[in-house]
Amino acid sequence: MKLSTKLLTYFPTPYFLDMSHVGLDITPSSVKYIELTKESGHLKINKFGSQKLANQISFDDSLVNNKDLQDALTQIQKTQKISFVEVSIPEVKSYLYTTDVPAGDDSGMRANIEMHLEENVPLTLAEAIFEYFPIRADKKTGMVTVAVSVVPYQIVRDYTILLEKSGMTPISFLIENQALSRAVINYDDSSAYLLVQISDKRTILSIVSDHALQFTSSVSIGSADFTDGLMREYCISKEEAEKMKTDPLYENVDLDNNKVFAGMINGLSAIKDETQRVIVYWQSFQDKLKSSGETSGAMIKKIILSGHDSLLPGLREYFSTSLNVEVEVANVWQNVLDLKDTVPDIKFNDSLDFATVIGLALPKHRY
Amino acid sequence: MLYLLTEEQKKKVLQEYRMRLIIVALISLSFVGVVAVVSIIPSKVLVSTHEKILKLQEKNVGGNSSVGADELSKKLADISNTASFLSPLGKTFSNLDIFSHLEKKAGDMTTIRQFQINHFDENVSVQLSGVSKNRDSLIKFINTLKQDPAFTGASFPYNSLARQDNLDFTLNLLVNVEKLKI
Repeated sequence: MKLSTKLLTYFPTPYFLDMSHVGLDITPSSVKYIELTKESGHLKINKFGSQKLANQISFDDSLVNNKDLQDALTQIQKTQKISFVEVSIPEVKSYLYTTDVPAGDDSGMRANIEMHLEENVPLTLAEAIFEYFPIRADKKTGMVTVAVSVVPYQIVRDYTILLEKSGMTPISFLIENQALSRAVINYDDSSAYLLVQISDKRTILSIVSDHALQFTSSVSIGSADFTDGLMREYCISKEEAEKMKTDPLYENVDLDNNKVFAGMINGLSAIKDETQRVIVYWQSFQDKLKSSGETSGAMIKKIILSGHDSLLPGLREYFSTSLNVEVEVANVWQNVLDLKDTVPDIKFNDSLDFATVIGLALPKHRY
Repeated sequence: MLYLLTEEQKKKVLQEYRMRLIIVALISLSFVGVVAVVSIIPSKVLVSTHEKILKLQEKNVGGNSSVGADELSKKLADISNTASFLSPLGKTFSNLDIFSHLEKKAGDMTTIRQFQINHFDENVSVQLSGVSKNRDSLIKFINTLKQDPAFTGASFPYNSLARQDNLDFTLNLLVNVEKLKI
């Protein structure tokens, strides 16, 4: 244990000064929140929940005047007495790229990124807010490879206004798959992982290597499409289809895993194809780096599935057989608590939907 | 880390943090102050009491010396009395008892003017001086002392017998404590 960590265990920062924050994940259908607090040097869940939105929201529209979202946020603030929040920015509204900049201090590297920003994203410098994360440094050339996250200024401003109207102060924004990677990858692990997050309407694919999100892609197929597939295949109601996906003992349908899987194969196959493309892209990119002698080349070590539909019968096997890569379902608690010692208050299948918000709620000093 | 915030928002969060830092610093200083005051109070009370006592003593000694001397004498008398009680002899006989014993032996014709008791090792000696009306009364007093088992070492002060009347004498006697008890 580092000396600073030991000191912080016995002499923690005063709660008032710590400005402890709550993770807040705004999705099209709900707002999830979770607060992690430190107790005897270990993290524990202090509060968590999910507020359903009266109507689904679209991130293509301006959210600043969205009454349903405003009501949901106000409701959460009133019931949970939340002051500071770290909020997710939807992947579809953000841009990500890697670039090489001359090594130097923060302002020098920022100035260099600003100079080339418009070459990499469809935004002017005035319209954009960006942050960068150093990945690796090349001592020979004096260059540093950085991952740059860019978000339109308007989006951040709208979110800030919306949250302040609800009585909450945003202290940070994170792109949703950046937050996801914090939760599902051990913070000591710098290997390359492909994260597959299956949400309602979309599936987001992200490659995380050297602790940085380096590539992201999404498919407009999500768990709602799997439900529709089952409804069509077996002529059942939406509720029955949902139960069929999650409850292996569901009695009204002749439950054969292969049959359940067959009902969703079209959607799953599209996701599998996109995953295949991402892996091929990454491998070829790494081969190129390796041949130029820049890096040893980080191959995808594992595919990590998150979202409650990652527990669909046969899904893991389908992905691992077709892609020839090890596949596992995410353990969203690995950077929070030890499951051998503690049973979290959130059920395992529900916790898979909380992965992003857990990543947002993790203490800042770790990153 | 203030990530992806607008400049205004960053300033706002930093301002909030600084405000909290000032509040925490002020609360910490107040706490230290309260602890210091609470710790100092007993010492302060003790010192001020000592100061008052010293001032009073100074006033007594410097302002009114006769009153101070009287008080001092009184105190000394008390202390002597206490000390005599604490001495091995004093447990059974006081100096006054020895004096009363000798006074009785002296009779009406002999007066004891000075009386001093000395303790050495485990013995007690008495040095007394006085005046006797005539030779007969002095010889009678000395003979009485010689016969008294409580006293030894009584010898005739021949120099004193040179005069006819009002004979001054000085005697040194050893007190036999055991016999005195009887």
